[in-house]
Amino acid sequence: MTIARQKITELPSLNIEQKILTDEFLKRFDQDNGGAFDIIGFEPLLYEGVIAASEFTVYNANKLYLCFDFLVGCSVVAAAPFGLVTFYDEGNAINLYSQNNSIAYQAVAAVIWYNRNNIHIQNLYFSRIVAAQYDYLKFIGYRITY
Amino acid sequence: MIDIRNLPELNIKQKEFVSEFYKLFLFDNSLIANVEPLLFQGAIAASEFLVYDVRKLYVCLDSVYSFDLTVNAFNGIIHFRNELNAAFNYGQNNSIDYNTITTAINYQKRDFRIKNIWFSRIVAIQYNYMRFNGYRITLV
Repeated sequence: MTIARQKITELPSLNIEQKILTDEFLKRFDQDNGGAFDIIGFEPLLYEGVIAASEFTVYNANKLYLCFDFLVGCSVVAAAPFGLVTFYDEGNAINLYSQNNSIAYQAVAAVIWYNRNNIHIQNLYFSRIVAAQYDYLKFIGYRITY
Repeated sequence: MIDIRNLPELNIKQKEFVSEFYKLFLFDNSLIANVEPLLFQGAIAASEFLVYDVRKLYVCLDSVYSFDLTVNAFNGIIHFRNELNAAFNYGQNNSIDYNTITTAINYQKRDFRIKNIWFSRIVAIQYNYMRFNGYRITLV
């Protein structure tokens, strides 16, 4: 899809990591670049807010996110469940996990308690996420539809 | 008045990520009365960052939150509030340990750093010092 490729390549002065991400993304998914899909939408997207019920939790076979910057946070103190973010690919299969917990043995409850620190990850793509224990998300990137 | 979408950083090649942040920060510029560069290093207590004002926002390029406290039972956390004064993200960077004497979790707070975010105000728990580099936006 020429317009999509033009837009992505017209981004001002991508750094090395962003350029690798976008080039490889287009090779894999933009049919004009030898990829699999006819990209029809390429929307800049800034999101800061709750994860629950957001578009990032919903799989759509015609939607991907090209992500330059991603951060999740939570408001809770240490407790038994551990924090984890799971990223899914274009086929809705897991392709990445991320966590940043600190743990301690809670002797009274006789369980491990987890304190979920922020997860900050840059330069990846995904179709959706599943966030366990994390409540809030910052996303900077693009919503790709095809 | 400075157009937030045309700040000097846009022309600095090395700041491409910042420029993307601005481009994605889709404010209607007609709603912005003033844009002031702002560097702050100091105590969070009584600072302007704690105060909500319906016409004030911060575009934060880089910020660090720190403290001078030892390990204790409270977790360090920063609440970020949006234009409506509602929490929309939290930041924390603790390591924890179990205190067998008090039977409580102890938190060791480490510096928390976040870049490229906007907020109206913060609530800082345990953290008492911060560095902010960005802009104070005054709305019409």
